[in-house]
Amino acid sequence: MSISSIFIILISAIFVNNFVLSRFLGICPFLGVSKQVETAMGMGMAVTFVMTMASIITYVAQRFILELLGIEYMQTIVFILVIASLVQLVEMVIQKTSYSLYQSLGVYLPLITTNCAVLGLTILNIQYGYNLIEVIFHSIGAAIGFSLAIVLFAAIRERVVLADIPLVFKGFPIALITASLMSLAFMGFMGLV
Amino acid sequence: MRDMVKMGLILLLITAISGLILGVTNSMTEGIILERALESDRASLEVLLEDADGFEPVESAEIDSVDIVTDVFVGTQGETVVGYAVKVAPNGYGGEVEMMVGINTNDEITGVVILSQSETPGLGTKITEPDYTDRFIGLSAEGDVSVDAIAGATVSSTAAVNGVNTAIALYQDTLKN
Amino acid sequence: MKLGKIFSRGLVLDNPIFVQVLGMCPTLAVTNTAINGLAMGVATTAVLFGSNLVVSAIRRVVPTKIRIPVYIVVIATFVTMVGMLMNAYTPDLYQALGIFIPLIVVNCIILGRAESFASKNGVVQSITDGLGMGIGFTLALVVLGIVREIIGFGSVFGSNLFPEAFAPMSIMTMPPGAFLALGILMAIFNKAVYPKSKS
Repeated sequence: MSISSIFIILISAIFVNNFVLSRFLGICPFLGVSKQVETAMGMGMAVTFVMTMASIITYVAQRFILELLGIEYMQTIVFILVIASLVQLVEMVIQKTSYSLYQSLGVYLPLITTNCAVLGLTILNIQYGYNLIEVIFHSIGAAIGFSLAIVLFAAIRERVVLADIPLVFKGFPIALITASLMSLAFMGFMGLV
Repeated sequence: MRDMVKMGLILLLITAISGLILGVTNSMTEGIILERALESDRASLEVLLEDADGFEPVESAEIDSVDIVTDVFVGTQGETVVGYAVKVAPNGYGGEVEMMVGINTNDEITGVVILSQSETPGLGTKITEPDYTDRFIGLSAEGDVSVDAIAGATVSSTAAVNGVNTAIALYQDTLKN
Repeated sequence: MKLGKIFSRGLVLDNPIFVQVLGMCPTLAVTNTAINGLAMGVATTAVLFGSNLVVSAIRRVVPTKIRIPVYIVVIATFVTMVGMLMNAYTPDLYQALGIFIPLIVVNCIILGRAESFASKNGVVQSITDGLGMGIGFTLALVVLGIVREIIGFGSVFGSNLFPEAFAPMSIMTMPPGAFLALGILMAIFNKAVYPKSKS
């Protein structure tokens, strides 16, 4: 394995196969926590941490427990439990260390459990047959891609709120159409890798 | 403390029940899933190696060492080998293009079947059409091949050609001997 | 609450997609054709039915503190079962839906219904609620799938609608088309259901 293959994994996870805009993973927080750039950044950071940790733990669990025992079909249950416990841990740590961050992320932290980007990432890691180093870089790329998309989207939405648009489009419809244009822009990265 | 133990036990019990249920479901469906996968491979194999009446998977360390090769099958007629089918997954425009390449013992490509892909609908997906895949039939498998790319789908076409060339290289370096 | 009302709530007024805006990932990802949308809807409904049934049945024996992990295990069990059955009997659909089958686990609708309805109501009501929400979800997916398939492929459920000369707009089958179609459908839904509302 070379530096270039790691670089390809990283770039493709951030831009070409952006988790939100081309794989449709993590749409709930993408739409829900993107009204302000600041909260979007907090969410991005929390997700980055959980994603990287979860990937490593689930990878080890898959290789050294599930495959050893020949019970790969328990994958979904084991992975989601790992993620749920991890999120609980992160929540407790943030609550103790940074109360302001805890307040701003509030209800959304437990929601990381049901963020399909995290579970999706851990399953994709196994599906692609990555080794541990590739898993780590794939997770970092996915997390950066997620954070990039959600922060950019929040910046646009802050302005859209001020625009005069038809009533029926207010809220989610205009947000989705904005996301459509962003996704179109990200399609420009296709074929890059 | 007693509460903690009790809760742990309840959780353990529920997970155990779910494990049991899944184990049973798994043993019920496992055979069917394997059979279906073999069947779909077999359908492609029969198209690629018409003369063969039996197929066997080939396994070796050399095959595993080639990056995009996933499976290799040998087609036999009675005792004689009539050709090989190589399953490759080169990278296209929208992800992996899973394809099978047939090569007979006369060093000719017998055909290409695209098994799955996620290319751009209407452009890249044209590589799955016979109009394109037939271009490979009969080409010599002694060295790298090249066929005209589809207009507007250069990346997808390149992926297909890469897949075929990887299969040829494997055939020349390993399988033929 | 009457059963009929519980059932019909999920269809329109509390529609999981158009009103609650839950379960967006599969909604956008698998609706490039009507049949994929239908398959995802049916799979989700089956899981919702099963998890609501079990969660409601065991609601008195599960301590409050560990209810969420228990619900997750129950849901994940049903999802894995559905995945295995689909892989065995409808391999093509299993392929088409791919990673979004295990991801039904994290579909917020399912955990949401378990927590906010099934854990507080009887078995019959919970099943009804599960079916109503599931069918509402399925309807929305199929509508979105039909719209995208007509524009993107020029067909409905795989059969062609237009003469050969019709050039489909492939963009609708790709990610930007998913966002766009859902955004516009949601606006139309708002207009139809709340014609006089201000939001």
